[in-house]
Amino acid sequence: MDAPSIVLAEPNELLRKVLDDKLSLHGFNVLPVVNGIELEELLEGKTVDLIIAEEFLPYKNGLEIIELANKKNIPIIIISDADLEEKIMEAFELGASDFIDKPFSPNEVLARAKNILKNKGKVNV
Amino acid sequence: MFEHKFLSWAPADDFWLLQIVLAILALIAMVLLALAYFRIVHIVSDVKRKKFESTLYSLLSKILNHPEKKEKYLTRMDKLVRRRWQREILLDQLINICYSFKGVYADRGREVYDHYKLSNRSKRKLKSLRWNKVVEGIIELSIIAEKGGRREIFKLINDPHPEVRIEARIAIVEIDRIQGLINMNGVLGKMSRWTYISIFSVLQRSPFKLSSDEFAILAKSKNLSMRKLVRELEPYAVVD
Repeated sequence: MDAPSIVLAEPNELLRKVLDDKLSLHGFNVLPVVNGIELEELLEGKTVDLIIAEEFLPYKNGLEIIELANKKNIPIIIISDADLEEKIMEAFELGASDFIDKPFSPNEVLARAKNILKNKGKVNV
Repeated sequence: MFEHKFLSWAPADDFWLLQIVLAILALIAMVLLALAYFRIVHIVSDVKRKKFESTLYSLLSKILNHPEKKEKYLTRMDKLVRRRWQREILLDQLINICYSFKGVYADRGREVYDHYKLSNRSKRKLKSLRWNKVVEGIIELSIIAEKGGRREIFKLINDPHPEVRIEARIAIVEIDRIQGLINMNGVLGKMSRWTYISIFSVLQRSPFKLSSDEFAILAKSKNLSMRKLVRELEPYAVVD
């Protein structure tokens, strides 16, 4: 089985680097992008198994990203700073697979990513 | 008097005019050269900074993801972070880590902060004459040092500068949550709308517990803003 590919859309360079290293360390093929346009372009040309995206990406907000992921039928985890109940409910209603609040633990992101991919039959762990 | 072809067209009386024109041209050339020099210096320092940041992020990521090799990466970081501006960038990134991450990742960020004894640097900023530096110090201490900076920050909750006062009050709540509000209860003056909203959002950021005793203390506060705040907080708190 090929390594599952995860698009990591995070504008903050350090956070992107930490999450990229964490997920790569556990055998995932990580495709980092910094903004909504890069994310859209990447999804045009590649098949990916999961998207992990910061809610406020430059050029696209969280809800637009969820719609984009839904069109391609890709599960998506949203990382957000605004833990407003309304916002979380809206994200789930639009089809987000999971929602992580800041501050978060990269271990938690890894566990949630594995869980989603396990349900998709992409990882054995 | 002047036999030179270029200069002889000008009457001797107007020679001063020619000198002024030449001086202006020389000045323009000097300004252009200076601009080019500063532009090059700026580009070079920008490249240096980007290279430094990239190496720093890589090392910080390794320290966070491989705590078993922490000493090895810290030794490498010691060689990298030498100058003042480099320590400031490191500090910014440690704030970024402690603000965005929780649990062991935030703790590992704090270990780097302690390794470089950066709390001394943050505490020094609190004594600065520039209010923006003081605010910077408050933010650093409240996010990274947490309880370690509480005593110094508490002294600033009634600072004459409004920005310092606001940031200190928010920081006390950030550090001690409800206990911070209780500690400030007796000394808090009038609370601005911005402080009110910020404290509200700091507490809302993660679930908090408000005991019946705490609620009673704050609800009976002499401070009108505090009473109003507690009334607003009640639905969000887990009251025992």
